[in-house]
Amino acid sequence: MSDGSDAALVALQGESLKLSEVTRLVSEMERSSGLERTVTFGLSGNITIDLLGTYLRKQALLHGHRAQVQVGDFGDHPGNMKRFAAGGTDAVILLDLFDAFVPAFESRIPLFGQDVVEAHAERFRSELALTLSEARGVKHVFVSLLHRLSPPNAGSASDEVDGAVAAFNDAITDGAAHFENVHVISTGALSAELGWGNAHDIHSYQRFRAPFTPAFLDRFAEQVYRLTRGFGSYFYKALVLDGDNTLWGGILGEDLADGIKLGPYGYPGSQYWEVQHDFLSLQRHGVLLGLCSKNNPADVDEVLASHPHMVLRDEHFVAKRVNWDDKAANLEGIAKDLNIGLESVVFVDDSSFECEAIRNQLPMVQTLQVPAKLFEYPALVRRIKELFAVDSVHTEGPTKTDQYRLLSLARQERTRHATQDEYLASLDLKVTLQRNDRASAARIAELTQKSNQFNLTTRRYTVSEVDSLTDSGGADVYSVHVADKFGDSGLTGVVIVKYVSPETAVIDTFLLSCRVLGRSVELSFWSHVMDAARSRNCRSMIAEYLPTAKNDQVRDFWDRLGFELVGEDPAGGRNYRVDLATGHLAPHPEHVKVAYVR
Amino acid sequence: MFADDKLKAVMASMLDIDVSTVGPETSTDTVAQWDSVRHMNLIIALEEAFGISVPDDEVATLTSYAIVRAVVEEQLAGA
Repeated sequence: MSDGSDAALVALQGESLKLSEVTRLVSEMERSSGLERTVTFGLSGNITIDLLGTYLRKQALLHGHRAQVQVGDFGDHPGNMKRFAAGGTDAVILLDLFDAFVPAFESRIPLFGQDVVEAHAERFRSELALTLSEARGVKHVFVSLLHRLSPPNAGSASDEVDGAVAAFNDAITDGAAHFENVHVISTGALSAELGWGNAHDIHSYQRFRAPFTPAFLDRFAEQVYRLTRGFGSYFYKALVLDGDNTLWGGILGEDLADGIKLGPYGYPGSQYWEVQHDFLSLQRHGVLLGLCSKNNPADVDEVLASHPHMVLRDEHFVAKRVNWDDKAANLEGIAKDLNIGLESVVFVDDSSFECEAIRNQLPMVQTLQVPAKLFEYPALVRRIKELFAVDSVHTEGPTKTDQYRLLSLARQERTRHATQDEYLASLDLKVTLQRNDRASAARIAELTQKSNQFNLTTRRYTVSEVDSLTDSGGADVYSVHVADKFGDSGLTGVVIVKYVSPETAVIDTFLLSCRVLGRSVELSFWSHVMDAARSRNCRSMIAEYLPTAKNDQVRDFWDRLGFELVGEDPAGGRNYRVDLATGHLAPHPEHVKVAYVR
Repeated sequence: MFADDKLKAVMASMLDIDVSTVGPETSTDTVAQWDSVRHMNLIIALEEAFGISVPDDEVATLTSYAIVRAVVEEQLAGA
């Protein structure tokens, strides 16, 4: 595809495009792109629905193919089906308006009497049966489920019009149940979603018999593509979920199992509890669930096994990657475990850092971010359900779709960063190291109290203890601030160095918040810490690792930094040393810029 | 100031012709594909783009660029 039509493709994905813009972009792309595959549509309706063709062509282009649309004769469903089927049409769409079956139908129903309405419903039923049997040879048949055009009466539960619409809709659902190739699309649901005024144009109905707005037809075409999984252009099979702030509120490593927010009562825990039910019902519909979380595996296992309000349990996840590795590698591992392609994976995470990393490194994965406004989570879940098309009547096997995928994969590959290093380099990571800043004492104390996982010694300090260390002259208290192009993570790390003798500095505390892990921040600022010790004429620096139930991930941290292991006790504690004159530390990670504030 | 460029862009999109060719000569006589379906979609697009409502008795008369321009301008003035 040319660059010009790439730009048109991006423009076409825009929200609330005007009809003339969509029409222009669609024509432009159809002219310039070299798409080979064409899906043919036949439209049939008791109203004017030509504009639906424009939006089907738009959806087609968004899914990497062309649509060719034919509009049948007005109101002649059986005849149209016969012609469409004979012409080898891939998909036919029956879009009717209830009010248009009989002129001014809704106004006249109260006057007709029950028997006349029943006669109309019966006629509709038998005509639909004929229509659907004529369409038997067409691969996909879409039938609109009807709704009333006149506003319902708020003062009564239902009236004659509701009853008549229900009778027609019964005929449609019965008919659909007999034919495997039939999908039903509810016009009432789309109208409710858009709002009545946005879905209908009464003036246009009167003038052109075209009651539906471009916005409605756009959404209708989207449903057609959703129900067929873009006519085989994608097939999602696995939903891989993050843990913290995705399945539950809070950070498990800091808030601990009884501190995370999850449960039927009380926002925001109730929001997570609700979406877990949605994920569980996807699992019941055959979606493979995976868990990909940066946490200690034992902590997550505990939550899965024993948290009273977890809806999803260990048995619901077919693949788990709970560790501190980068998530791209973990997703690749999960896909490999499940023997599916990464293009079949939908990944959900709350972190911009993780989402952007996956979009960059694994663009074939459908990556969705949990909204920052948590009350918008249900809208994301609706979108996830649409991607999996769990309500589609029938499904196409993945083998048929492979050939269509190759093309789009090749295009995605262009934008992929070759390595995790390149991705990190694109982040503009900035670390600011601050020494003995009294204003930060409260946050420093809080971090020593809360941090469990990336914490080498797990020593807890109060604010006044931090203050006295800062003022003592016998110690340096460093705070580590991290920012990247996604924003400022704030004060997220602490180093405390005690000068225990004229020649020896001891690293009493080193911790980092889980939020900034995986970016090599922990290796970036040590030269400044060493320099400060050297300026006091220290000859060596001593460090230790004190094991706890939570901090296994940092067991070899001092080795990685380049310290020398000098002793290990039976409980797993380790002692390290580095010679400040001759020792060499791990090279400074190139993608991290460090600023030092004395 | 009437937005001629905007009107030309809408007409070009909806009639599927090059925007540089839209002008006084553009009419149902010179644009072969200006059929009834395109005409209807053109009216819907004009109303959406300019936020106007084309009067019912004008719909059938909008058969050239000059007339479309006059009616749109009139509706904008009246709005």
